[in-house]
Amino acid sequence: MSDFEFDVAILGGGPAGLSAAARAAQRKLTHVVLESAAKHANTIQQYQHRKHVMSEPGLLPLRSDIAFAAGRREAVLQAWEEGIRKTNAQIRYEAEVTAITGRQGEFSLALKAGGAVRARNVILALGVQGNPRRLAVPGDEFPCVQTGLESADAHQGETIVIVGAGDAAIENALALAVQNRVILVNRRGDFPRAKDSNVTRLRRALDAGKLECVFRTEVNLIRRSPDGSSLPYQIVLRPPEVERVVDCHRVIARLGAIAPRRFVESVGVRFADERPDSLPDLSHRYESSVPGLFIIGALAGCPLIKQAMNQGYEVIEHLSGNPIDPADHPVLEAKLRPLLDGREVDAALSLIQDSVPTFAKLKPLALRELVLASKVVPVRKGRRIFARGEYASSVFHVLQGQVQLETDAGEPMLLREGQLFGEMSLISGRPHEIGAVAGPDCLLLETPHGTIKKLARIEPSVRSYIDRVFVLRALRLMLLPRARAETIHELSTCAQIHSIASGDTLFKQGDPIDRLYLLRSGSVTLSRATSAGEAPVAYCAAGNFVDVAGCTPAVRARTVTARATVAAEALSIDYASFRKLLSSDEALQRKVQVEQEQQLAAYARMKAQPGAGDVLSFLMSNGVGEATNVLVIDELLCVGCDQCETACAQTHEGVSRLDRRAGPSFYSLHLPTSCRHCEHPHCMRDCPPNAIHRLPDGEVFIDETCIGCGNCEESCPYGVIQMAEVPPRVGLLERLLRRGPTEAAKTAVKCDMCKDLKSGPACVNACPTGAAIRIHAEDVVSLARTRASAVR
Amino acid sequence: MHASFINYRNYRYGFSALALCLGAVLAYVIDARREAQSGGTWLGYTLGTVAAVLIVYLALYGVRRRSFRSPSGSASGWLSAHIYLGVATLCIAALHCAFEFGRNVHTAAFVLLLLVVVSGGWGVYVYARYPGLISRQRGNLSRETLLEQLSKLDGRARALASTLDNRIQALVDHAIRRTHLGGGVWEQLRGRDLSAILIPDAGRGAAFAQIVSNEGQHVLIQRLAQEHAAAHDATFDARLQELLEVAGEKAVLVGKLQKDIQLQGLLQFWLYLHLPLCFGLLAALLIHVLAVFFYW
Ligand SMILES: Cc1cc2nc3c(=O)[nH]c(=O)nc-3n(C[C@H](O)[C@H](O)[C@H](O)COP(=O)(O)OP(=O)(O)OC[C@H]3O[C@@H](n4cnc5c(N)ncnc54)[C@H](O)[C@@H]3O)c2cc1C
Ligand code: SF4
Ligand code: SF4
Repeated sequence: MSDFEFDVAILGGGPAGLSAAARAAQRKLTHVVLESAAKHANTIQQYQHRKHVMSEPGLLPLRSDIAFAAGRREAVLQAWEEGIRKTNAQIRYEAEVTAITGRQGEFSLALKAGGAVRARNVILALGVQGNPRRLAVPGDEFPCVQTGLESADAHQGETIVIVGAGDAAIENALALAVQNRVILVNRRGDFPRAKDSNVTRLRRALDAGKLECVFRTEVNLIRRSPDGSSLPYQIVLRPPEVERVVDCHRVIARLGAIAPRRFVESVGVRFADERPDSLPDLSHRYESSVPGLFIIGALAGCPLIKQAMNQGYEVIEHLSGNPIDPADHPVLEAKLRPLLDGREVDAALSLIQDSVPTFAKLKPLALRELVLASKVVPVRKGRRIFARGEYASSVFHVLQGQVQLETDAGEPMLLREGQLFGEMSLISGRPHEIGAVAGPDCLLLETPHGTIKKLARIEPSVRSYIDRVFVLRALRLMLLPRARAETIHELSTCAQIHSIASGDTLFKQGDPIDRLYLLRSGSVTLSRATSAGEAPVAYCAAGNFVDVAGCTPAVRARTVTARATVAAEALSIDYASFRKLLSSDEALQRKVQVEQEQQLAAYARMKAQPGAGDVLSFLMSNGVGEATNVLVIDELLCVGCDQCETACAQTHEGVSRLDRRAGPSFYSLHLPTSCRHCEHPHCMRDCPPNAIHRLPDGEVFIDETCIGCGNCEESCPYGVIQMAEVPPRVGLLERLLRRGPTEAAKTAVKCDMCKDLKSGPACVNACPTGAAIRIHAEDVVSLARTRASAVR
Repeated sequence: MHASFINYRNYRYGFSALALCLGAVLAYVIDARREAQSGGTWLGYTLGTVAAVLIVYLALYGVRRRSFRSPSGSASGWLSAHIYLGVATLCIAALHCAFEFGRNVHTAAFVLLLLVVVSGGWGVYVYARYPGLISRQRGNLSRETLLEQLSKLDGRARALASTLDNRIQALVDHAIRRTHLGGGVWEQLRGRDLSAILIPDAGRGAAFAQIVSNEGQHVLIQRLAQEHAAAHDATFDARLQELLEVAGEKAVLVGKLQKDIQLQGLLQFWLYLHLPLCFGLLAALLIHVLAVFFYW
């Protein structure tokens, strides 16, 4: 068996695996890449044809024996093919690994096709795309069956059967239906997994007869057509009643992918936690909890090609006994300069870890990533770090010196080394409730929301620490500005955090009043049962108590139902403790009384106007409840001139980011398809280069580092992001020197609220009749009320 | 919340225009006591200049509409000013010529101004009234959705008819094919339902079929009702009944769409008068000014 024994076996021939193999070849290590697909870099092969591949992050140098520069997908793939040849990297295609056994020095890798490979070390570079699920029916192996679609334009006049019910299936079906006969096969009766915007588009196409869709149907088998038939294959479908045979050219199975997580865990690798997007525990040399087994690339949490390639190089260097610094070392060094003071980068990193409790339990690799995405900023004494009322896009940690938080009531809070601030806005998505001013010798670590949210998702220790700080601060700020720390600590022990999915209830009318709820993110509507169903009486936004009006001693049960309009979180303390507090604290009594009066008045006003509740529900169910700025058109004024769209296109490279005609209407209010600038922008959730940002006024925008992966388009529930070819912005000098990008790349575009125009949003500015306005979620009640009185 | 171009900033431009007119009238009355008024007096020249400047300013609205990066305030503010100052211009121009009219280029300019203002007034009426009508009668649905509904109803009617006999099938098919929406400008503006249907002549067979108006799907419904009255078996009747209901729904929907097209057409139509008149006015104004300076 000695010919099958390698120094290192590399699973996955993507950018990370290829780069590792090339380095291993240079280092004269015996190696093999085991790639499950028939070609190298399967993820990149699956990109859209002629996609412009970007080489973000720009600052990071490439460290690999294989070339990579921004360019067309085809050029990138060809460069890698050449790299494989030149470096003599060894690859075995169609070699999917199904199990790994043994330990360092004697791993054994079982192949799906049979046989095994033995290796002293193993590198997992499997990416996160997973292996596409196949149909698993007889005939699945015919060449007519594919699991992806490279380009819809490549097919014309074919009969194509698409199996699946997710976004990918629908998008492929719609794209192919333009030039082909398409039959979409769905195992269920509807499309619960797909985005609403896709389902709507599909229904329209179905109504117009552009394609066919069969429901509650499964695939029985696929076979070659008998001689003499015009189409090469037949697919046999099994609907509820009778079997149906469809002649076709091609079958596309879009059944999702089997995530690699389970496979990786089966090998013995530990992950940070149960959540699906958590990461494997890795050392700073990419070694997992299994000695001799390394993980690099997207699977290790590095979502970009250049990072993946660098890691491939570095892991081999480590293996061959050359512990080099990571390629991002100089970048990190520059970042940490104010903190270095003669120290090494690693020492500075441990200093951060030791002093900042939020990151105390982070793995070294995760800490590096965090600091790379953050900024270390010295702030002069007395300078304002942020002001009350500004939207936030980062959280801060005090690395050195002091920071003062200015609250309305009570003394300013003094923060010292290691302490976190800005967590309120991080959680609520709303503007800062308090301002922050730098004290003497202040040095801060500023981390973008996207990065810290992702970290909190995948690192339980970070999540729970931030929550703890939040609870203590919220209790002080909202309830007991003057209390002693011990009192607050004691109260915090009975505090709970509740997560409510959109549409679920926090409590129902008639429930006993046992807890006091403070909404910390999202929004809820309060409604009363009527003969015609629930009628909304109020809207409650993050940062407010939910239904304190109902909390008078005389009332024992809830008089309203609190229902989340978007995913929301609430903090609660038990009602008995609250009453105790109340009886001993006059300031609190006054505060609660004022809120009670306001809420009661709001209920009464809404009740007096029956239509207002309906308008409120309409606005809420269309995302206005989480909007910081949303375009609302008054149909009583709109003359349909499309000046708003024209203005948007004219000020944004010819691509309008709003679709006036699309979108729902109610009571003559129209919500066109256009960005809501959400409090917690869904689009930001998973952007590999962190290209989506928010400005102090709340505008969410995408910068030019977008790599066009389409994640945000998929995440936005309101369907407002389009992937469009926007001509690159090339400076005059670059143009003269003929440098810089010359071809248009397909990138994500959406409304940026005309942040660069002094005159403000062009759409509103161009509307001749005053029909187009932009509102904030807080205006929603008054909009509902004026509307209800304007239209009867 | 929403503020329309009419009450923009609490009628800011309405009041400015009013003040301008009152000022002009006052000056006119005072000056008339001193000398007989005409375009040629000192005040006449002043008012003329003011009116000419206003006309040029009003025309600049067309430029503002197309400059989307303009920092000069919102388009609805501009429109508000355009409307109120437009009316004021007419008043000032009348004072300028001291109500002296004749058959000459000068009066032609005034008449054009009058027509421009009147067509604009029509525009204001239309803009203030029709969007509400359109929105209400569409009932929260876009025109695209209504058209989709129409094609769905047609699909259902065809499917139902295909289970009945050939005659009915042909009838339904013809009614669908000759359903008429939109059409030329005039047809759109009149908003009459020009749908037709081909009906066979009962006695003489298919060759003698004739096309008749099917306004409001009347003829189709009538024919289907006749079939219904002639007793058939139960399933046939039930389907026919359903078909009748579909036809009724369709009549309502077609009416809605027709009305929508008509209202949209009317919403735009005045502009086709206002714009050419504006250009005419600018030309006449130029001639008027040149004439005054060269030949007076
Ligand atoms: C649409 C899209 C656009 C993108 N655009 C860009 C861009 O412009 N710039 C950029 O920097 N990044 C971009 N990315 C991200 C980039 O693709 C990834 O960061 C990168 O591919 C990660 O490389 P990797 O080697 O870790 O994994 P992958 O490239 O995913 O490679 C993993 C390989 O492992 C193989 N494999 C999986 N399971 C097994 C198994 N059990 N046995 C054997 N082999 C297996 C797969 O077939 C695959 O070839 C984009 C991503 C997407 C989805
Ligand atoms: S793009 Fe979508 S998710 Fe992102 S802020 Fe706009 S509406 Fe929200
Ligand atoms: S497509 Fe969206 S998620 Fe992907 S890189 Fe661009 S902005 Fe980020």
